[in-house]
Amino acid sequence: MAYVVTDNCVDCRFTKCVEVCPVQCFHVDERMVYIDPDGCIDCAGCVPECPVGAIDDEYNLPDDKRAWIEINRDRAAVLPRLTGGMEPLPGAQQRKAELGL
Amino acid sequence: MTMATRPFRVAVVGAGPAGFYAAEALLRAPEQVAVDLYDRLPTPYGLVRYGVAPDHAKLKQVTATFQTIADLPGFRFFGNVAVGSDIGIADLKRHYHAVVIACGAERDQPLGIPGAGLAGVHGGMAFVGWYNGHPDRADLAPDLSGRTALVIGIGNVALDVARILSKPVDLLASTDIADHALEALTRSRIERVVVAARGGPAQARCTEKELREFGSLPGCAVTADTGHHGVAPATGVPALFNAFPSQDGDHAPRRCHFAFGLQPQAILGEGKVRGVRFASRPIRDGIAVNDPQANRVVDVEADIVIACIGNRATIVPGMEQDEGDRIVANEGGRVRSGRGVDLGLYVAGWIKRGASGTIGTNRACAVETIAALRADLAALPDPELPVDALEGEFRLKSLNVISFDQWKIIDQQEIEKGRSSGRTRVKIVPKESILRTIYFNR
Repeated sequence: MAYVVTDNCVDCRFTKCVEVCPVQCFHVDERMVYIDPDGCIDCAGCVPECPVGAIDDEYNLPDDKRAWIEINRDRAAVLPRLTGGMEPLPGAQQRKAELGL
Repeated sequence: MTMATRPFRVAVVGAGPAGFYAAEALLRAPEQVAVDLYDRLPTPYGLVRYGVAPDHAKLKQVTATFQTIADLPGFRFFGNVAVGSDIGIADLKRHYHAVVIACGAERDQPLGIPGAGLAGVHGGMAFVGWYNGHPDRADLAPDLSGRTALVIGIGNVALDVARILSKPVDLLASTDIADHALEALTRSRIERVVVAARGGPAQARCTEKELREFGSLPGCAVTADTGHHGVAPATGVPALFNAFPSQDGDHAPRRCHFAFGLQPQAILGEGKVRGVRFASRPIRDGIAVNDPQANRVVDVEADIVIACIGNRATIVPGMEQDEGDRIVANEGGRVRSGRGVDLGLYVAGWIKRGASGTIGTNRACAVETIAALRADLAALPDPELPVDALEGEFRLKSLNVISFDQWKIIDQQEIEKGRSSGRTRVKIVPKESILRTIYFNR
């Protein structure tokens, strides 16, 4: 079991999660971050850090978000690892507001 | 050579998560920095080795990250050197540009109520250190011959302690739990564990994942008295508590019960604990209500009490404490001294911000401290004495300094011993045994 980044991260990419990851298992593309499920040690530290609640425990994921389990695995495998936080994407605050957060 | 391009030497004190992440931030910085990481124990990893529960093996995989940090050029481990007593902080500063103190919050918050000194009353850090084989806690010898254990507090440490006491011992037998603890738990006659929270379910500090484990403890009936009426909480920790039955219909060999709104008033007993007196507060919407008129006195019987109510900063001789001993006074990691800061002295991790968060919280915390340190670098004078002189000093003091390569001997021996007995690792506990393994390979 691992933690999973879901659709709320898309076009936000605040990367607060990356700063507290003890094993640096986040990978990044131009729109969001992904967790490498084999690197994740289930510490749950990233969950409360996300300003848009994008990260959850695999166990808690509702049916309509379970596809993200495979997406995280597949994307993390081919994308570069992120070792520190980045500036959020330009539309991040607006997108956060749209999400009602 | 300009000030900012000098080679720098920094001592980091405490080889737990905060110390390793501080070392990493320094070693990966654009400046040329060498790091000596000190620990008063011969073994690295701090609370990952001596705090994380033995049945949480996945969390301990973070040590692979620490090993990667130890492999960075410029890293050295100085184990078995107690900064503050073997060598003073002021002495250390004479050999380094800067010193980062990251030695945590290893003292238990005292209960501070009558009877807290009775036999059978333990602190959570002490108990956790005991079952994890911390050399200083190995002789705690908690008496598990009674039937009821009372855990005070409801953070993740309290849940760890309650789980270790409730779990069938054969599920612990393959872990790296200390041999002495495995033996004591095998003989344990505890059949009822009560976890007493001061607040309500919505105020509990524990996290979902840790609480969910109580839903699948074999042979243990878990109950919770949430004081909840009306609409049930839908999500999170309060919902999980709510999902436990309030009364147990099973005849399970062991029971674990969560109770709320219980403010400890006194430990009862003569010579030895026999119970705890609480002021019981009503719970409304998941929150304990502050109304002295509504309090009732409740006595809960207990044969052993483990108080998991928080931590206080580790005492480092020569450093001032702040916030009732919770932390060392600092400004973003710079140690405060009088009205200013003590230039060249820093803190990171629990001793800086208090005992909270997950392992990785210490990474962000250490990164902040090292950013402050790097901003100060140009202003830091070169050390008075060469760093090599320290090793001579340690020899003069007959200190057995342990290097990272020597720790690897211990690591391999423990894993090897584990492999031959079907366990992930068999910890070598007493300091003397660790040193003997290193020097004589036995």
